[in-house]
Amino acid sequence: MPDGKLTSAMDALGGMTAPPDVALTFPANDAAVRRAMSTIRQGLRQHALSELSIGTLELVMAEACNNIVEHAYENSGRGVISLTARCLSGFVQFEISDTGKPMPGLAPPTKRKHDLNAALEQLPEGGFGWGLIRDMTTSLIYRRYGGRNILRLCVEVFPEDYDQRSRTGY
Amino acid sequence: MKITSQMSDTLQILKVEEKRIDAAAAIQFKDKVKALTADNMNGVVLDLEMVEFVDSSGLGAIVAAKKFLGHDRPLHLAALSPIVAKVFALTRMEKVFCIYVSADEALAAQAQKSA
Repeated sequence: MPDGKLTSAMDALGGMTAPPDVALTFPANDAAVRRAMSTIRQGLRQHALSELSIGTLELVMAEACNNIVEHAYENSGRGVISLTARCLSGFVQFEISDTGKPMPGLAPPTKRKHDLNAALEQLPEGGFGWGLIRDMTTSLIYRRYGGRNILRLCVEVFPEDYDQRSRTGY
Repeated sequence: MKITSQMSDTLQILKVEEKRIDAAAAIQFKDKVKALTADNMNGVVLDLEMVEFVDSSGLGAIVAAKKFLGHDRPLHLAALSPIVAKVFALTRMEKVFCIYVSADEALAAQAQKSA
């Protein structure tokens, strides 16, 4: 796949032309994902976002990356994840890509409904990830392109004094 | 994964002295809680005051801990940060646990119940 073709296809998905605040590529394993999250936190620091906004960003990225480790690369310990983040006014846009298996049905999973009135033994211990991603993003685009999974996510963010101004629950 | 244990008359307080319960820490967390709670029969309060981040794997590990403690030993949560509280709210898992502002509050609630 020529790079130019991929770039123009990406532009058609939403026109990400500003240089990213964070761009990194890291191995697809739990420890590397954890380190990447810390790097991204540093990279976004200059934008003075609220602690809750940073937590939300981190959660969305961590869930997306954990899914890549577990499902796209099937916990093989092989493969890399590429991530870029751009802070726009009021939003942070991410692009996360990998060369693992495509998503089933070429679509990201929906929020799973769990029966929380179930008996203690039946309570769910997993299957929360995509629900959290969907709840915390304002847009979510998935494409399989040239052997890559490309996920573009947008999260609404607030300035750092916002948590104090609006602290009613979360 | 550092978790310290402190026993009151009615409850065991487990304080997670880590910033994160995430995919990289979930298994260690489960093992540690299991080991620390093996020798007593009290209910347990998980004090999350120092925890800044819990992802869905961490959430699953906390649910797993609740399950292996069983019906007779409830697992309560204390001192959730705003983002951790948000994870419990969005997944509706907040309905499955008693959540207290602090470990002291959990102890006070328990003392009132036993009085």
